[in-house]
Amino acid sequence: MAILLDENTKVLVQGITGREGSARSRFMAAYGTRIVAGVTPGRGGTMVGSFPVYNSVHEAVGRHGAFDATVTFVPGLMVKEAVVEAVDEGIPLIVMPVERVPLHDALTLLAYARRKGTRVLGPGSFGLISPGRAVIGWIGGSEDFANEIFRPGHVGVISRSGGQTSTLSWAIGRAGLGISTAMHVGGEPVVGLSPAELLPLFESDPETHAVALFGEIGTVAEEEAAEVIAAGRFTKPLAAYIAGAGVRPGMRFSHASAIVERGRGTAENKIKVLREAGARVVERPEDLAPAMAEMLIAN
Amino acid sequence: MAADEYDMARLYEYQGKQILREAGLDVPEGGVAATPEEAFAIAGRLDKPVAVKAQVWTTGRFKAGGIRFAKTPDEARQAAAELLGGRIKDFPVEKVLIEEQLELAHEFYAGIIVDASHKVRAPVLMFSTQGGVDVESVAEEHLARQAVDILEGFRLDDARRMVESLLKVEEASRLFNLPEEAGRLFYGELAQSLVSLYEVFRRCDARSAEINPLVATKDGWIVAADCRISIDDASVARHPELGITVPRESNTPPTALDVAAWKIEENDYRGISFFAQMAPDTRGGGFIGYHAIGGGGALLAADTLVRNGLKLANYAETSGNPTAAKVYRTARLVLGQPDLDGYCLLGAVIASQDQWHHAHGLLRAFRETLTDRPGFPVIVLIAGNKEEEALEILREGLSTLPVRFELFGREYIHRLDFVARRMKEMVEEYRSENRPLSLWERARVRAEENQKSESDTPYSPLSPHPNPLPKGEGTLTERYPFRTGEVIVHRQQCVGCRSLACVKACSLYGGYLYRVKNGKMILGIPLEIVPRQCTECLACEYECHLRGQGALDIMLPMDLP
Repeated sequence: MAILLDENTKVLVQGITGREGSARSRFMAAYGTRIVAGVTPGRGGTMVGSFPVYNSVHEAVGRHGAFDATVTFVPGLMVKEAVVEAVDEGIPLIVMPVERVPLHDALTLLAYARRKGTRVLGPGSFGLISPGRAVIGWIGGSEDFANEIFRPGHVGVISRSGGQTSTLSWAIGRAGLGISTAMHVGGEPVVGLSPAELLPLFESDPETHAVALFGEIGTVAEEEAAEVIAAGRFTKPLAAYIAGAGVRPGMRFSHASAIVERGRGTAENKIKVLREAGARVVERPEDLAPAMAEMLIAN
Repeated sequence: MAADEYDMARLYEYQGKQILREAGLDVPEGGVAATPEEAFAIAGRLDKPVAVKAQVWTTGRFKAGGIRFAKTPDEARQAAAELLGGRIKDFPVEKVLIEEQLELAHEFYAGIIVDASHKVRAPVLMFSTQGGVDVESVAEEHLARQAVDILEGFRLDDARRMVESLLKVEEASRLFNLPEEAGRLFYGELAQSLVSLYEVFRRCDARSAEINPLVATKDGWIVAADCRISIDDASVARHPELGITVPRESNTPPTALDVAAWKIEENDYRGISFFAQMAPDTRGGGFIGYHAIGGGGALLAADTLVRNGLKLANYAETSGNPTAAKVYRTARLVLGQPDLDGYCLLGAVIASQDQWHHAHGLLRAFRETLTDRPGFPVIVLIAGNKEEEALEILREGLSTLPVRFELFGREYIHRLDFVARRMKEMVEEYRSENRPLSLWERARVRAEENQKSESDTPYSPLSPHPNPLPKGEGTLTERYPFRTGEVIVHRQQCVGCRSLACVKACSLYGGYLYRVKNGKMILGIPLEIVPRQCTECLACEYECHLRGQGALDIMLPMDLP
């Protein structure tokens, strides 16, 4: 099972002829992802490895039929058009590993996708992986490395930090557990799929027994996740860690979304509401995987 | 209110007002002055009582003494003289805005922020009949909020409804003691100003925009008396007209090093390089250069270092699969800070990127800055893909330098306190030794000597490359320019080399630029596609110097303060 992605998911790669697009395509396919074709405007008719390249998503769909997902390895300043194209062709999941997408473009493409009921992971998402099955994005890096870090199993991982998605998954493996699906929601100021929308998907996935959440200061993502739990839409065990408690308010560093705005989004508040909803929130990141293991045994 | 109070990509009040005026909003008459004489001239031209407002990126200017009132041009000059060159809440005052004083009838608030909530994900327009104060303290019944569908836009009807929800037309007339017809007119103007604000927000790719207060004057005008606009970092490139030097977040203006660091990022889109100077003056010592990989773990690791008594000169980060060249440039800035007593890279993250590129980038920076700093403490924690290889490259490379170093892998990601304590101990040992002149001090001495001899260009501690070039008279050199630099091969020095270190390095770490022909390295691709093919992994240079005959150099120019 897993959520959003498995070995049957038929994937298109937008920007497949670029440095990252081609390298990532090779890796994703080697890992088991069903990459079928790629798109780069103006490069139609060529090949990247064994993948045919088309000038438009429309052309690719015309040749190969509907896709289940697309991934955009397209620079931030140009990615809006790529997403609109994918939405228009009815692709239900768009993974956006691109960082530095202009904010108004992000707002526009997310609004456009929402109208058509398209799910968007990112922008700024490191990607998602259903271990042993398929991967989309940067996450995993190479086949050996992905196999070493991400063990198949029953814990869902949601992270607001790209690198910590892998770190947390590795720690969960060391605690003797495995992953059903792990994903990074994206580090941009405004992103698509949020923890609050992902938890219900994990709830209805019989293979996922619990979820680990790596949260971060800024936005209301964790607060809204707590609402979902409180409303009974997620009933499995949830363990969380919130990074940035020691950061002075306003200091954003490189994480554009990690800013405390209008009194919301503090670590304190997130920890409080998650605990009130029944989640377990640990104080240190190294405690997250062991806590998850304890909760699953207790369950 | 402060939707985004600490953004560097912020406009000064006078810049914001210029944009508002272009969008059709009224702003007070006035002008911006950088000297008391200019202030005097502007006040003279206005010929009425003026406000002299310090142009700084902070709220609460009035309470902090940043706004003065002047009845005459002489008083304006005096007020400007007092403000200019001083500081308001730690921000240096370089300009003042001289404006006519307004006769207020009422103060409103208008603002736009972006709500990231998954239920909204849209710009949210806010309007309040109680302006002039912190909008967060305004009671809900006086505040109207409207999420805007960005695909539809925000129209006059929408604005009217918002205004109407708080203020009836009759009330408006009564409030301003105007006949009903004038009240109605005025009311439309108020709505129009919200529409104009939204247009400004969209036009400059703002992250937030607010007018507080939006005032109604006694003679019935709607005027933006103050304004705060911050531009989205990722959109700054679309707006050269705004003159933003460093679209990065901080609560202080960018330093010269911050600006140089931003150039690294701006000139190379691959991966992220982030740099923020924390201690503008590190002379006197005791500071370490801090460099992290991965935003989430980076903050955690910085906290750990500080908790263990270390002083950070800077905060730097390289993530998202940057090239070795980008890692080098970032590390070079970190290591180029004067009088450092150590360098610490904490990659407390299982990174998917191939970490050997970090190893090569770091070694290039180490070799440039640490060859004559015996005992200089270096700690590198690096984890993730190609972790063991990266650690081995670093171990071998650092062993050729006179520094003290320790290397850590993934087992230490969750034992950062231990690593921080080791750093602290190494720094203390280093400081207790009779260490030679630091880089900074040497640079000063060299610069003085150079001035005497006038033969050399003065040495800068941040000069881009230390290798003496070209190597000997009549040397046959080949140059392969890539995106951000250039490979230079000194063919004479290649003679007799059997290592083929450069070719092997490029095929293992890089973009297959080279081939072997007759036992010699040659460029295996057309020169003009080098920029596309070269991954800037820097491995050929490093391996050539380590295992070959030192015939290959890579030039990596940097913008330096």
